[in-house]
Amino acid sequence: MMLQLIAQKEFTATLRDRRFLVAGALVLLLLLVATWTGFRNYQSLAQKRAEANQSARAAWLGQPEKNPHSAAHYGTFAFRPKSDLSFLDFGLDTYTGSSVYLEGHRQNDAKFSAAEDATSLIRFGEMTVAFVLQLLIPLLIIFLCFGAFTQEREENTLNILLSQGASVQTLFWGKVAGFARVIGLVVVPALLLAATLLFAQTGFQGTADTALRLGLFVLVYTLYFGLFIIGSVFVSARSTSSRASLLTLLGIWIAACIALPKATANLGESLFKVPSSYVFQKELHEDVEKGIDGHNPEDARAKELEKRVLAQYGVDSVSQLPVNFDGIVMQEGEKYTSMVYQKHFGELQNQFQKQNSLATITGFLNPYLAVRDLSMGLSGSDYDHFLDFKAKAEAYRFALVERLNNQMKVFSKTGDWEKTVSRDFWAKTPNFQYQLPSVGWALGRHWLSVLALLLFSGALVWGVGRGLKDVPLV
Amino acid sequence: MNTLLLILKNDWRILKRGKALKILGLLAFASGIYALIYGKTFVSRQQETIALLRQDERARLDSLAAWARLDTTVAGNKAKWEKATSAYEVNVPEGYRYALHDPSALTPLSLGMRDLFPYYQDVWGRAIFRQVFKQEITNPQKLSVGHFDWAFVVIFLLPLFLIVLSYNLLSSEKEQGTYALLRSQPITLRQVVLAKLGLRLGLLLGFLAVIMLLAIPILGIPLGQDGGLWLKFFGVATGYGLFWGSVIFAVVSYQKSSAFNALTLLGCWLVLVLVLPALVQQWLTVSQPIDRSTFENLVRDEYNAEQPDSVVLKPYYARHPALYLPKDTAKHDQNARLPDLRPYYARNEAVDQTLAPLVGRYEAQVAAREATVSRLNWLLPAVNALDLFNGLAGTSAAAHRDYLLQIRTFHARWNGFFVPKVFKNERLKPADYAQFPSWTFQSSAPDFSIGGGLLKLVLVAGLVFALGWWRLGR
Repeated sequence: MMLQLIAQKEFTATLRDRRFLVAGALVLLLLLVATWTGFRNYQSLAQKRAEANQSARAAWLGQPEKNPHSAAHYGTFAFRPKSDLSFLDFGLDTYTGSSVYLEGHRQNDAKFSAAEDATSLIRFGEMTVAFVLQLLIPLLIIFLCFGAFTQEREENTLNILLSQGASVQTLFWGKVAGFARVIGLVVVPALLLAATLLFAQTGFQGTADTALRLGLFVLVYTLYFGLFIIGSVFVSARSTSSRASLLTLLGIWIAACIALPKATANLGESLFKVPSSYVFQKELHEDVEKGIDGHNPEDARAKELEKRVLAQYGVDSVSQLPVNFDGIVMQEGEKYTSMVYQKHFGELQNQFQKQNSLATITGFLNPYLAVRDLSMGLSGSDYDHFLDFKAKAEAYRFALVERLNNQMKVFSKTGDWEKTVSRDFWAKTPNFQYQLPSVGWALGRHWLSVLALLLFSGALVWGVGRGLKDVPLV
Repeated sequence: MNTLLLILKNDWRILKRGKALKILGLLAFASGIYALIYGKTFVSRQQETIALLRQDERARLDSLAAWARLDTTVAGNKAKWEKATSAYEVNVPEGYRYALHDPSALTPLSLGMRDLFPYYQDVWGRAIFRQVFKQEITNPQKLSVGHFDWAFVVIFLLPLFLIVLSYNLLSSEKEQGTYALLRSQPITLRQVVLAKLGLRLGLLLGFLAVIMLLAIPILGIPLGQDGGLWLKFFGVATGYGLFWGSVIFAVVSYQKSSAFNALTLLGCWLVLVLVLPALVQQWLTVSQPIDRSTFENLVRDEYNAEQPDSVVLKPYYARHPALYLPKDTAKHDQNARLPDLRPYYARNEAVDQTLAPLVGRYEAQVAAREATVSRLNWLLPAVNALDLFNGLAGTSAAAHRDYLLQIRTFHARWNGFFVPKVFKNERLKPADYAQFPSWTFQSSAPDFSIGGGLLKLVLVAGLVFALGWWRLGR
């Protein structure tokens, strides 16, 4: 009862404060603008990528009669579709490539990131919903809460309140509840708009997975704002003056949201080195030539293969084979290079994950980092989702090339590079269709951040409970 | 005048005894030194790669030159000699050269877009647009977080340091009860505020000077050659510092409480450094969309277009009548495992012909985005300063475009040397090796003009200052 009364008082008092109304309205406006522009951007990208995928497929289907191996060289493209929720949090989408060229003999990296088309502005971030939620709302919370206790103390109302029978705990949680309502007033309209846009986009037939992702997205941010409110009111309760409380909170914000993220990323890059593209390619070619273990050179592998195939068909020379030996050679080669590529790309990605893990681990002390990680993960715009796309595109490429090599093997004789497949062959190869992994998968990739956020929350509530026992009254 | 000195002296004493200056000084110094070291590490990694590439190129070309001098009467030498004297082999697969974007001495201070764009390119005789769409290996998460370089410290952190030192320079007098005493002195309020702010700006400039001076030995900046650039860099940093000084002056002139000043100044920082740039970035992606993700498709389609050689050659000869030498040009040699060279070059040039206008339009679109940002620079002092820093360090997107242009020019020179020899069916002579076109990078940084940008910064600073001046005189 008392708690609700206190909450109501804070709520009403805040709404009567013109300064807050201005700041709150500005943040809400930014949030709405971010939602709308983010959605527009998402829509145009999603449409372009879908069209690009269609035209890549059309080009594939429109190939004239040709040798299957020429088709493998011609190749096709996979454009990464935008995930439904990526308009809320662009995550790393701006920095990861948008398309992969899928061709025989090699795995290409994804190319053409949006960041390359941007001006130096890109270094200041993008005004996405996540930007507002992660950086600006916490500031609004600080602005709202820094005087929660110090002001009562400075105006000598704290003693009066406590003499009315309210405990410090009740007062604290009442204030937290009041401020939470105010923040809800700013955030909820924007989230409603976002949810409406999202489901209108799909004709209100969004999948359960998208709904679940959105639900968890909201939950994560609710917890994040809760932490900031509790933390800010607590700092206010323990501070000697409003000024000290404000400076402490601003210091924490700058350290947690500006300095630490940069420092961890920079440190990660310094600690875990990655090769330059030149060295990467060079080592890759050496592994293909000399064998992945360095003792199995290309020509030895070829001789070995020839012996094996001849024995399998029970003939003495390649020309006597009932199949096209070149097709077999190319497929074996494809298998081998794929293995080499997988090894090198795998090492590279491992190194990147190690660099990023520094931020994830710091997430145990800095909820901003944990939330940033989870938010990207739920929106499908993190590094893991990008790797998932790349892996699926690669699996498609391998299957496509394998199909072409097998066709080569069975439909012509060794040395015949002129024989062509008919045009309807192209339609028999499956189309590339990317399926976003489930929310469960996404959470599995980010369990450390979930744990970090929960542990931090537990520790904060526990710490607050202890710290409230000896709050200075004057 | 003596009273003013006395006030200043006291102010300095208070600053010196307080914790704030010590903590801030330490933080600023640590972040400045870290930024220098980070920049140096980043650039030296790139330089290692560049050195490796130079070594690779020299070894390759030296060995080819030696092969060109081999005695062909010895049976084992024939193949090597043929390779080293074939204009095509040297032009395309064997003799390719690296076009290197050397960092300047100032690059470590403002790394700009150097992580986003590749800084080396192998230039082969084939179509340049079959080569330049490349990315360097980088962690997207690191890209999105950005650098902790000196430009970041100046643009993001320095204003915060200045704000923390100065937000209460007048209000503290009121809050400590010394305001009346201060006002009873025979000096104006303007003089007091200016003197106190001047002291803090002096501290800031001192800090800037110390780090910029330390940068000379740490980064090895040759003052004789790059002293002018160094001075301009220092000038921009000073101008940016003065801008923030005038913002503080204006806010303080309202004579509100310390908490109000702190919040307002942080609000200004937030809007000018975070919110406006991010908002403009978002608005630009929606209002001036750019998409080049299908360029690679076009390259593939154009290069693989199923056209008879004669159709490709006719316009080629029309463009290069001097190359029409039907008697001299080698007929296609099936045994040499080479492509038929005339249509090979014609097809490659056709790719460049198709792509050049599209790439030109793309670059114009990016430049148009930059022009929009530059028009808005009045409102975006942080972006303005970063652009000036990047321009001086040669790390802007424009510098990268200039580098790409130099690559294209070099490619034309490279082919201009070899292609006539290919069509005349001439063998390379050992003496030709000394005549090969070689790459020299021309940095655009020395010609970069900071006048316009700096003027905007100083003018806006002057306007804001005038507001404060007027308010304090009332």
